[in-house]
Amino acid sequence: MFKKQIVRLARIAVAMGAMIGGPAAAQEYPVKPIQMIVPFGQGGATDQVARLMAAPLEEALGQPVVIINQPGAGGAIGLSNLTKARPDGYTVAIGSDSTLGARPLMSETGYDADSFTMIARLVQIPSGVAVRVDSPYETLNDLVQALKTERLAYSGSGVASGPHLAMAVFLAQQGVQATFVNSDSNQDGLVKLLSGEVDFLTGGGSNFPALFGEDGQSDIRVLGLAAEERWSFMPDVPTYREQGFDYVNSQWFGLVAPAGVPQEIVDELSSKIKAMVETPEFSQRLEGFFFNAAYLGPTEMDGLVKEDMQNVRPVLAEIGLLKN
Amino acid sequence: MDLIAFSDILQGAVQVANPWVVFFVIVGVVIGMIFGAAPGLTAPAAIALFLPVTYAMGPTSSMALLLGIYCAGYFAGSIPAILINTPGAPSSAATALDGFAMARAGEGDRALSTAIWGSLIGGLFSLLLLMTIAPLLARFALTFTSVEYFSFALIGIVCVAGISRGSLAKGFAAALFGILVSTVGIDPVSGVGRFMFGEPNLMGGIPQTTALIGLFAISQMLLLSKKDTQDQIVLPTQKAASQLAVLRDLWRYRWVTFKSAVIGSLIGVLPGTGPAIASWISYSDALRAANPGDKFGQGEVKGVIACEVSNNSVTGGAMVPLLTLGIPGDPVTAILIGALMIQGVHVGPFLIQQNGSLFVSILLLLCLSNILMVAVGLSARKVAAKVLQIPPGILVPTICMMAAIGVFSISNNAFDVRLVLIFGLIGYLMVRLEFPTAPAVLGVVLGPILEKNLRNALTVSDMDFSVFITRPVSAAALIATACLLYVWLGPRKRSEVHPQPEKL
Repeated sequence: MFKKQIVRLARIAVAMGAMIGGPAAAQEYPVKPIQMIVPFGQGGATDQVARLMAAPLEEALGQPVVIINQPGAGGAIGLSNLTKARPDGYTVAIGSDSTLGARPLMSETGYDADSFTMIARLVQIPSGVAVRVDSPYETLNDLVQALKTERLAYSGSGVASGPHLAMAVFLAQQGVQATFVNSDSNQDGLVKLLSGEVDFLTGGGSNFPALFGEDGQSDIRVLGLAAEERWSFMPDVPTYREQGFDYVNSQWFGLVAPAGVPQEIVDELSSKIKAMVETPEFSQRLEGFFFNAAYLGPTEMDGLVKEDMQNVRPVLAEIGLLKN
Repeated sequence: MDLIAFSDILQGAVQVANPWVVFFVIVGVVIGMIFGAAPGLTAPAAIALFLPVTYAMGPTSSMALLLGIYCAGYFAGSIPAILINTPGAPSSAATALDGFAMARAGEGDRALSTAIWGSLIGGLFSLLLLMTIAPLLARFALTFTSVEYFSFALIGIVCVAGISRGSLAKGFAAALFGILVSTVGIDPVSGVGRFMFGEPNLMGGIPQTTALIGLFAISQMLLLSKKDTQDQIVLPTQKAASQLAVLRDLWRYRWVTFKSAVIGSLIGVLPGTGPAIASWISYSDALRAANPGDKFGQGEVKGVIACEVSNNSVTGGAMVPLLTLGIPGDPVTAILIGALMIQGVHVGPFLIQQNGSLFVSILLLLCLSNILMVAVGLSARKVAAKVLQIPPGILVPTICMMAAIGVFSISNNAFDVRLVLIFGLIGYLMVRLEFPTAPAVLGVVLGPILEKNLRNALTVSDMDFSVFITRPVSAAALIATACLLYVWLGPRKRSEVHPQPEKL
């Protein structure tokens, strides 16, 4: 009777020992569930992209992918907690353009861009700018010209968020200035635009298509999207380049892990993600959110973050957001 | 937009008539009741937790479950607020003022029944507005800028003067403490970190629910676990209330009921607000209109009516901008956008045009949820009242554990559990030193709205303060604020001769 119990206890102890102690050798990765931190709340776009990925990724890796929502500070809290996790490839998180590079330049986040191992970029959305439909500005050029003589106000979701920085860098390139009024979310910014509190709104392109009816009627007018070519979801909106402004900028999400994850694991994960992102089903599901699948490997993603940081640093210094 | 085809109405009704859909509404209402009543677990948290479950359902079933949680969750926070002075959610903090006082007088059942029927009236009233003048209301809400939001929040914050019995100075100190707490984290206007002490987890600030649960629930539990029983509040046996008498109360105070429903619906329509603000503003309005004989803060049933009618009328109000503009009116509707998106429904100004039958289904579901909420609420109140018979030795650890789970679930972060303990200690000290805790919660809720909108308004106007009086709606709100202050602070001097032993 007691013997049986002791044997059972011993079995449990061995099993637990194996779970805790067994360092994952790269060739057998993954041997246990993978935790994916989503640094935003349930129901948001990031959360939905993560949940979209979880199922096919589980299938490809043969282990459950568990999603943990840790919202706060525009995504910085979840990422800060990620950097405290063991770099063994079993804790990953969804990072974005502004949270990885720009945020640590501004406040004490407990991390910087070097605290991460980049794994893969997943999706991107072109940055864009919109005005009210009754606004006098018909083109991007109208707006830039007006800014040379007048002080206009604009809004976007969050101080130093991707949309804010996209516009701040653009304005700095054109040598003009505008007053930024912060909003908690893109919808909050839309309220400020429609109520006349601000003159234009900067936001990811994905926020705009749902505001247009079938015959193109809307309360807003999108002046331009900073994509390389016309965006498939809004083919009527010209790019910045077409209007004579050489500026390309997008908001994106990617998968990151704490710094120091073994190269084999990074390669394993990013190759599985590449295969998944490039399936037509994934792109089709993304269409529901007006996102574009946009895989980039670890090295390219790292380069992108560093490049964004270089562009953003002087602008942050100019608007007084750079931390001391 | 108001021309919904008859076939859409029929189709929407058929979708709701499905037994599975009705089943999900019931499940939603029960879940909402449990989450709303458990301190630390709030309606937005319940919706966030159950959202992934709905990904595999159809749009109607998904909305059935979530709207059930939504309506019941906003009401259920009042159950613990009334029975153990521990609001389940920030929106019920004002209910605790009079509700708990009623329970202490043996009228807890009457307070609960009033809350249930009041919530139904609020819910149905706002639904009526949603059905009839939604597009108009949404357009009206869009004329408001940061200037108006600031002035509205100011009406809420001067409520401190109305609810601070005993020492006004202590009331204001508590409110300022609340505002101070709300400034922790990355500043919402210029993006600078404040009071973070090198702790990255504080970047996002102190969550309102965490502060509330600490200040109310944990501090109550600490008081209960003290050895000397003389400080403990022993509630008398609760009298069973006649539902008819409760309905008669609501009729007798129909003017308060109506005003609270209007205030709640309108606050619901305004994006970026929520039920907590609605209940405080209606409460302060009820206080302003008080008759000499009213005992606000000492068990005045009008206090419960004002809070509960208005916090549930936020539900229909918040759906107005969501369904007509694609802009969420409160924290829950922000999550509903995600729920609809995953079902392939694009939430925007053309939702009603493109998904007429879904719009009809949502209206019917809201109506059904409100009615089921009464049925479940009335039967649950008997069970809930049993909470009072649980000995502190069991009640205290249970509530503390639930509170810990609740605050953990907000962002899956153990740091929040530590925070709630700290706020529990602060709350305990405040009660011991006779500082009221309700104004502190008011400060936490309204602080960010006041700050953000004041600074945004001044940024746009180039630091010109005159915008607050040149915009008519804002000017009216400021005059209302001045009236409130006069009503509370003016005659108070004379009545202060009478000792007021009541403490919160």
